[in-house]
Amino acid sequence: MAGIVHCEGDILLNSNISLKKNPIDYRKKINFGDAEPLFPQFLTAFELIQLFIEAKSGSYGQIEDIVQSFGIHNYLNQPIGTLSSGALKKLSLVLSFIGNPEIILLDEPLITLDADAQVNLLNWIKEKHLINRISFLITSHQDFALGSLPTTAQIVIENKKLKVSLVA
Amino acid sequence: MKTTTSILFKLLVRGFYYAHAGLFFSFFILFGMSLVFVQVLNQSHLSETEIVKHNLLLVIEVASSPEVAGLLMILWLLITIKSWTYMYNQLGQVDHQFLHHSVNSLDKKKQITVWLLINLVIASPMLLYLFFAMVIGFLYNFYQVPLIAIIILFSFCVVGAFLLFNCLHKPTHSSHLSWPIKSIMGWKKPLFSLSLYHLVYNLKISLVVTKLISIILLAGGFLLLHNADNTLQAGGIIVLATSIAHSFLLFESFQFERVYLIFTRNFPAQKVVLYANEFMVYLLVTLPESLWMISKFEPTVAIRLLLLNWGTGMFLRSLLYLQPRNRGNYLTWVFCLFIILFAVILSKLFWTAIAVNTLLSIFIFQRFYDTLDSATTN
Repeated sequence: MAGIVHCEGDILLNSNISLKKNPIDYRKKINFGDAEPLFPQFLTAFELIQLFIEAKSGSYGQIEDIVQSFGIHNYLNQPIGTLSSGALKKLSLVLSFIGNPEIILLDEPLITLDADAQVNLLNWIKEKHLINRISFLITSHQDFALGSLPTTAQIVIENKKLKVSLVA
Repeated sequence: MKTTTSILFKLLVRGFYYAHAGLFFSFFILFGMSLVFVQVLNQSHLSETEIVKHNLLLVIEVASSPEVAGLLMILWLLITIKSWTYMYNQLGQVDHQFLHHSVNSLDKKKQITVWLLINLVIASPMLLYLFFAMVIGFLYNFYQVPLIAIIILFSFCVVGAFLLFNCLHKPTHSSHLSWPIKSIMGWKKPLFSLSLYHLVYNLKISLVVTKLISIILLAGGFLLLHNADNTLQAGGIIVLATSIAHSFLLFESFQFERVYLIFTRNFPAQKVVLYANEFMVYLLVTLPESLWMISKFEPTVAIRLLLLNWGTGMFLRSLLYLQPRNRGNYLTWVFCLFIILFAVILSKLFWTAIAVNTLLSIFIFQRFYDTLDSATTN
């Protein structure tokens, strides 16, 4: 869905933006946070943020608060290769907020995050949804405190079948 | 000990040869060219023995000249250092950690013997070449130089055995960057430059050795072929060989893209920009070769050689989007491409080679860029 891995067929966003026919517009509107992010080890966290800002037409201002709340400002100038898995995961989550996406895909966003960071993330998801009208598609094997999020559709894969249920 | 040697052979020696097949292939080309293409313009005044002697010029030079043999030993020392670096890095990898608590339990003498055998197998192409030079040397009464070279080569292997023995007894590796690399790392890094940084940061030795091979191919090829009737054909063959010598770096930069730059596929970028990024990488990596071509050939010839180099390089790069199963598979394609292009250049279809390479490169990129699977999802 993020336009990273090849898929057969097509994906339409808002019924008119096609992954295959409008790849640039599509990718402007969809951001992605990987479950186990891999980035070039020699880049610093700040260089990676700069790269995303340039590619996604974003600004540092839009993520400054998230950077502060996750404590990433403490290791902005450290090479990625020296970061712990938790710090790398937080950085990956921050990168997924850069630009002007309509949907943010988060794959296992809670793994390797400490309890405080998990609460921070839920708050940021709520705020971005309410203020910036961003939708989130989240896959998780962990309890995601669904009740604390705005109206949510829960999709469960069971016996090779998709079960969709609305959570108030 | 036999099992240990066999395991280390599979993990390290085979891996090293797979990883550097392009490099050894380039040597093979250079050696083959010296045997086949060294020709005296008018051979009618030469006897059969003298013609054979001309064809064996490179081997006889090694056997008779301490300077040439010395240069060859320096070159091999660099490759030996490269093999040590490769094995050192492999021993530090997580999936090879078990070697640190299995091979170590062998008797010290046996461990040294195992590492010596591994080093000797890695040095086997040069050992065979030197033995060949010694046989030829016996025929022409120059056997001392290759004999000394074999002794030096053996001493490299002994040093390597002790170095790797010590390496396996260290608990962890840590990477310390040299000052010039640290300085380069401080520069701003646009997206296209990340592959270049990867080469400088992670593949230093491969980069240096590839450039060295390239210099040898350019200088050696120019010396061998500068009297050729058709400068364009001779230059074309040299340029083709140097492009092929870069196939290892192209493969590695592609692997880097599949693993560490896979996130960039979510970036909204036009395909023409993505293709231009790849071209910039190849352009900068082969900049020294390009400058050499401009300095050695007339402008009209140099432009065609540059276009051939860029077209071939980009075709080799785009071929990777067809996703060869592994490095060996890719190098088979590269070998076939070399044979075809070699024939095309000899047939004086120079512009055809440039046009077909460039157009196929663009077509494959356009058609298959989006079908790439992440290495991490396989």
